[in-house]
Amino acid sequence: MGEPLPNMVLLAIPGFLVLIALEIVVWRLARRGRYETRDTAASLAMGIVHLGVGMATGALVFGVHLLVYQHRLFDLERSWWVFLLCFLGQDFAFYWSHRFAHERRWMWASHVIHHSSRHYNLSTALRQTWTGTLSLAFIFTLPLALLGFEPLMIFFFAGLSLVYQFWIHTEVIRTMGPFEWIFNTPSHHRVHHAFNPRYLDANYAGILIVWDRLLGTFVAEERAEPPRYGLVKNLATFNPLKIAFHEWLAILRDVVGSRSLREVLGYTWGRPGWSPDGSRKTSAILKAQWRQRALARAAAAERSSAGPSARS
Amino acid sequence: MEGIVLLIVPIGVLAAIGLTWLCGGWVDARIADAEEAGERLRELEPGFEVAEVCLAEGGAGAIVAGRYDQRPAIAVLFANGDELVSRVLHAADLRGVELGEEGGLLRIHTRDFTSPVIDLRLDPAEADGWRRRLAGGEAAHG
Repeated sequence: MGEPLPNMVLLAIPGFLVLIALEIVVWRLARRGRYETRDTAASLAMGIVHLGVGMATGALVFGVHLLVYQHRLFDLERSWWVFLLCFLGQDFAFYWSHRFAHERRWMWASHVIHHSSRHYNLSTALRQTWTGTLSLAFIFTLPLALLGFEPLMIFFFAGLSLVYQFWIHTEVIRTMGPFEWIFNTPSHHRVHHAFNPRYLDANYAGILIVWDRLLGTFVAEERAEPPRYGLVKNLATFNPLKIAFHEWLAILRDVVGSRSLREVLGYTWGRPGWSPDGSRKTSAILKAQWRQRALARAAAAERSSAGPSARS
Repeated sequence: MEGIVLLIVPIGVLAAIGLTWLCGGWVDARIADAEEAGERLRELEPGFEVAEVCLAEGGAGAIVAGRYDQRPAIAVLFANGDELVSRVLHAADLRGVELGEEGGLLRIHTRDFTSPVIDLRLDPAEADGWRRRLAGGEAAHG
């Protein structure tokens, strides 16, 4: 293993706070973006505890990577192309980890915290989970360690990805021209944080939006439909404890009430919104219903524009 | 370096929260009229067909009757900070409905961890009417 690499997240924190202050001033003076005091307090409180939990559990996660690394398939020395490959590998692993975090309830219970704000500003970026290790999100980078990438390098790029993703949580920047083709941007990530049915389950990228474009999960922001931020079922609290654990408690309640192993598995590893009788709505159902309503509206508009002669 | 950063964090966080407050960030959402209540509910609960709206005192919330998933349903809107939150009241999620404050407060108890109690201040007669409708099982089933 080589020399330690810098902890990107820790080094960036003072910059995060300065940028949040700047965005608040822009919101006040130019009316771009939006802040709510209690929402910001909740987000920042979540961020502080996340930092502490990360320090406490980081050794465990790092240890698991080291364990896997001991059985590595290749010896990859530090060189520019190994760094480049590790960057690409980590970003691709993030895409899948993030996608699973939206598609599997066990992981969603941890990630939902980040989506629980109704606002989209730089403080929202810091509204982070306290239960990331429990959700097993780290398993997605284990294959990189198995391939022979140093755990230090993997963690360096994971930190870089988090730092990159901070600045895209803003409404101040609208679009960024050709940069939008390759990189994740504020516009792409606004879509990801929206609960409009059109925008559900889209744009999972960390740094490179190309993964979404290649894997069919890319959705562009439409000027005609501004994103509405938050959850399909929004929270009615600013209490960080309730925000952090509400979905875990919901899982527990569902599991306790389960009548079979199938139900237990469905409630824990099924899609968020899964229920045995289909009485709840997954994002796929919400999208299908939205499409049906859009088609019905278009058909009604066509009938009314055709006028009485068309019906005769 | 880590020590300095960890020292800066709480100060910076408190400063950011204070700055949003100074800039007018502590606001409660209000609903102007029945039309806006319907519009907000359709945004929050796509597919909800609004039939009847009853605004709470000062536009602090609303209770709405209509159809959802092709069945009669009652929903509520209430403020959480500067945003409105909605709940379609499913029978299975309701723990009880009661009146408070000489009949003008409709208090809905739910099984929802983040909104176990929803309060709406209404005209006493309207509050009692909605209480009876909810207690009588008009909430959505399924």
